[in-house]
Amino acid sequence: MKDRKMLRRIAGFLAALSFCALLCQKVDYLMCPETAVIYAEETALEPDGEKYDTVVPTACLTPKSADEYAVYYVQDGRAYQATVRIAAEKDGLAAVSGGLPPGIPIVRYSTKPLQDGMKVRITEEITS
Amino acid sequence: MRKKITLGVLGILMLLLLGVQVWAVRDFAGNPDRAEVFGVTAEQMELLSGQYRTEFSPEEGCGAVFDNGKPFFRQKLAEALGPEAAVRYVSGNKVLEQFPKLTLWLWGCLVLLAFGCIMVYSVKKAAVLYRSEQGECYFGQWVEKHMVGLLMGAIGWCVMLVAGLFLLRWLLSFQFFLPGDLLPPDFILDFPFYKEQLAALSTLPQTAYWGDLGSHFLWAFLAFLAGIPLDILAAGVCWKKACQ
Repeated sequence: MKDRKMLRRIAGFLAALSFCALLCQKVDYLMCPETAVIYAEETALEPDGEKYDTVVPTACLTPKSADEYAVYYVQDGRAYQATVRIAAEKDGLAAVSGGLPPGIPIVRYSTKPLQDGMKVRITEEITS
Repeated sequence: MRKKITLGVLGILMLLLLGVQVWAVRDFAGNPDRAEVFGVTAEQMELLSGQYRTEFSPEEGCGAVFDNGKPFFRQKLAEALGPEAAVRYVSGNKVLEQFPKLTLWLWGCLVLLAFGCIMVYSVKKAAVLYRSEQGECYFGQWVEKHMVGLLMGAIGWCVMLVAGLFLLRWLLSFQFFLPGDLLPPDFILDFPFYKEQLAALSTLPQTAYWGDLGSHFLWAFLAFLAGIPLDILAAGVCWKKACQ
């Protein structure tokens, strides 16, 4: 009788645990911001001008200090902040230098304000 | 008999509450997201009308911009309007739709629990019957004696197992929606953040659409809240039945 009662309690606990795990999965998905990313290009800002390694839209940059800007990139499903400097700027595009890994997707739009190391979902890849 | 009546009454009440939620959602379901923009000029709205469907009232200096179905509507519009614009994003129709969806998801969990309970109950019933007749006949003879009942039970078991697996798949893949800017950055139970968001939404002028949405939201929310204890009660009744 005691064993059966214990068995019932264990089964009830497991059912409640499964429900909580399912609920946590939903909350985790809900909390994960959606992002649209763009890839930095190797291009010249002016015709016949100097070619830059990393050219990104200026809208991706957030001022951090007088000459430093923060930019978020996505690696392994997480958004990381890199600090960059603007080398040249024209028509909404900026050639940047600094801690941005080459060929990495850069966050253009995000449904939530990002924090360093935050889990994100890429839902759109913008091609220029 | 009493339990059946309790379950019946619970079922009717749960259906009624779902009905209230569906009624509250009905007028808004399928509406595109909109952004209510305040203190804008006709020129600004004219510029936006190239990309989005817009409505503008020059006397009140406010207008509405409708989602064109492309992703990141809010972010793109915010970029187009600039940081000075007073905008209220209204995706209430999508948020409202979450209440009946969430209720159905909870019901799905309940049905899965009920399937599990019924399956355990039927096996237990068969085991008790076998034990009581163990002295009278061998297992083969017992199976022959209760062939129809056992076959029906086995078919029911298989149907519930397959349906349960499909239901579990649906429950796992089901996702809810809430606009990102209404959610705190990292902790879902960050109540001061929600308070701030609500305060920020109510500082902007009232519009007819916003007021209407608010009252429907309240109805759906209350019906959803009232449904939760009923769901828990129904789960308890199912659980007790299986444990008998």
